[in-house]
Amino acid sequence: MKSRNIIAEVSEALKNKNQIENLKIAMLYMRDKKNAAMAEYNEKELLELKSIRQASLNSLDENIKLLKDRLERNGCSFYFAKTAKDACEYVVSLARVKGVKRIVKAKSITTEEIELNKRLASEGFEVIETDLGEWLVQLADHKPSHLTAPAIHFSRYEIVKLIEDRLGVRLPADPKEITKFVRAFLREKFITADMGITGGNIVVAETGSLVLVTNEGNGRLVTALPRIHVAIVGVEKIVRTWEDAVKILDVLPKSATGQKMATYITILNSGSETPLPNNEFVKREFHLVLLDNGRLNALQDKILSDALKCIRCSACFNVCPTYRVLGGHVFGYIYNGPIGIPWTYISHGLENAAGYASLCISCGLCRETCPLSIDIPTIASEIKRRYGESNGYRWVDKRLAGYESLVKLASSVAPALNFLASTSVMRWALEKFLGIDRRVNLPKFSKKTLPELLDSVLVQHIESDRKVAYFADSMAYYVDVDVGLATINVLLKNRFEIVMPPQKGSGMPSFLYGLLDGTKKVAEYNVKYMHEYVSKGYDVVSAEPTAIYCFRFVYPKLLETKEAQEVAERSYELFGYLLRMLESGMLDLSFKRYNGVKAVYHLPCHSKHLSKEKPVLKFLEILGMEIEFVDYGCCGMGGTWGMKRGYEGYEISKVIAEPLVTAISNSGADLIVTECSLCRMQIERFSGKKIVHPVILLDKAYKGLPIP
Amino acid sequence: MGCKLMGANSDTIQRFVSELEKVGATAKFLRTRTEVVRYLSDFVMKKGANLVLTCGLEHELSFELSKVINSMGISCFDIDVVDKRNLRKLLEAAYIGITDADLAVAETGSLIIISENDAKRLISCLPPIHVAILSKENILDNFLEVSEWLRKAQSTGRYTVSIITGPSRTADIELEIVIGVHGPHELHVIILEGMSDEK
Repeated sequence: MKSRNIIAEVSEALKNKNQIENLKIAMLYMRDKKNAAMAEYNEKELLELKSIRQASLNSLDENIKLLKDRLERNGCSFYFAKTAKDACEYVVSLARVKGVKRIVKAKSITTEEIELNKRLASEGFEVIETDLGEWLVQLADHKPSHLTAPAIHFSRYEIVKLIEDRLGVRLPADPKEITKFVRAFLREKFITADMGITGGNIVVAETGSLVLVTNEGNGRLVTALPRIHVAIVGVEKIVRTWEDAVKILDVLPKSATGQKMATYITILNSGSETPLPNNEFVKREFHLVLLDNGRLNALQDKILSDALKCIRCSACFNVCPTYRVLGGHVFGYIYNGPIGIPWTYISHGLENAAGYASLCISCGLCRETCPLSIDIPTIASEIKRRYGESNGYRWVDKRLAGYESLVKLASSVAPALNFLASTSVMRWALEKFLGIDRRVNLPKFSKKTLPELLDSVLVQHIESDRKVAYFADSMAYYVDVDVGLATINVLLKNRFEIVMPPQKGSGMPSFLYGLLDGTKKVAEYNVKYMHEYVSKGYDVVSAEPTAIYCFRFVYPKLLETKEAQEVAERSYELFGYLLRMLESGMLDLSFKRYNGVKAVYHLPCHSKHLSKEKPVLKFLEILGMEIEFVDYGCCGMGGTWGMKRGYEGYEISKVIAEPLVTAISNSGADLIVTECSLCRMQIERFSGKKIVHPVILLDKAYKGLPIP
Repeated sequence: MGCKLMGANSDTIQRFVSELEKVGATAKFLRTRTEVVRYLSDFVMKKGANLVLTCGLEHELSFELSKVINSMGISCFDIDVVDKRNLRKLLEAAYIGITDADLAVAETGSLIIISENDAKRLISCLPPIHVAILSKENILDNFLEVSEWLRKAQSTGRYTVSIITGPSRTADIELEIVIGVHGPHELHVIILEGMSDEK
């Protein structure tokens, strides 16, 4: 296998402005449709779905036995393929023995996984994809670039050109006309095919049933016209009962395409009689090939097994900032998109997965949108770690993973550094030796750290049953100390007793680059000191969403201790915490209102995981402001990822930020608000405007001061 | 299928019709066999069909419908009674397929059809137009209610189940929705209100 030059691929992809623009529109549209369709689901129902998937995986051996038994009782063939090669061999020899010439296929990413088409073609069989998108991709000799919209990388103009080049047919650039042509073109193939090959969305063990979900109707024709039907299905797709299957079927189309229900669901567990072109009326052969190809190994892997719960809805593609600008050919191997990172690892190995996992920026939006809450960011980090441990970490990643120690060091020489950082020689040196792109805005370090300042600021220690252990995180500790001070003031105003236990930066930068040992050390330290207070009835609060994201989702997974779990359950992002107080009528409301002030708000990715309610937005409303909410997803900074020089980070990050920055620049608002310090750096860099943390506004409001 | 249904109330039926329309299908309420025959013979004429196939309809309805449509100079066959050797050609050439529907789901606007052979399945996927006849008693409220029914339908290994929600569609080109890809362009549902009373 040739190893990839991902930097070259990235720089090439970033030149394709049309694709970037089309993909942006398409992904935002699909994201919003999915969110609207999924709105009716509550957390409890999604938890149930998760436990169905987990239980199915736990009883996989039993389910396989049951499935085999049911299918064979119905006169069908069942074959368990250990490897991709086994599965291909089975199909090839079957096709050969049965005298097959023409094979039609209905959308199946699993046959892409095992590269079945290539194998069948090399044996002289004619193989035709029949899903419109898959057919276009096959015609162009491409790979699918999206799980549910495989030809999303083509514009209509490229499609008519492709059809003209390959088939000599000139069509108007109109999706209706193209579809009409393809219907007629493929109808002929359908009715003359000897074999149909499909994947499967679900297999139901209790009745041995294959469940196939499509919109175009090709799944029905492929399973009803040819005399042989082979379904190739990953072993993880089995569920035990129809109750389980129906719950998955209920959520799948909503999460995949925002449809309440897909157009066609075909359910079969035997080959039924069908009229053939030679006028015979015969019983079709039905073969189910159950594919392992790495899945059973993955099941034993504590971190990776999470990915086996996937129902292949593709919602993660639609929110991924990297996917949105690079597309599935760069951000992928054969499997692509966020969930493709673990799936590539499972079926195509570590190297192919690590090859593009470096482009994952740990925003976590995939995890947030996943109906099964599959922790793709942690899996990606673990893959980066495994690859780094055996092949060495990327030089620039190791430098930036140490960002927090750098910040600490830098802070000790703050005045000199702030001056030097503005010189071009220094910027050259930082890029050369630390991998920080010279165009990135560097933080302005405070002369004193937050704890040093607190000694000289009057902090009231009051006897109160409201107790907070404040976690500042690196930026509020060393750089944005005003955010730290404002947080403390707001909490004091609400009669909290506040302590600031010993703490280190959240460890997100090392998590991002897969240096998980570093994150784990920090996690141990932070959990140890926070737990001391949590056990005495304190809540952990931070104004940095990423910090709470780490406390809630990263530390418990890395440490697997009772203490980490207890701290996780008591950790709150500041505004989510204040919103709870407001709702229980406990918040001090004696603050100034800023009626008529216009604010534009960007929601940081990690905040999305912490609350569904957009608490900052609610507070801006209460402050009387007129708000515009810009919803373009991740800003592209991804912790420190956007600081990485050139095509390893900065260039991609800039393109990701474009729609957000444009919307903010065009908003004409008086204030730009966001609660994440790194989103702030990113937006300030590209918009040239000042961004404000909402706690600064609330603090001023309590003091009755005008806003900047 | 031996599955007792309580009979749908009018809210359920209204909901079904509204969901059906959202996915681009149509609904028509009819009461008697005579009405159905009259409606469908007008329909096939209006659509300019030359070949109509039916399957799974009540015997008298199927008989009368074929008679009336044939008398208009349009071919109409019940695939249960034609010679099996002609089936494939008829299915490939048909313009309209008329079937019964075993069950429907109001929440999603879905029809559920079981078939014991694939001629009966192809009649709702090969022709450009599919008309399904559904008895109003057979509409369930929610999709999650279908699990028990599906288990029964799949317990013998003799039936294929098709759940159909609207006409065939794609969004594979720039996410623009196009109706009518490999399956029917049109789906029409006739909802029968009490034809069983008519003797």
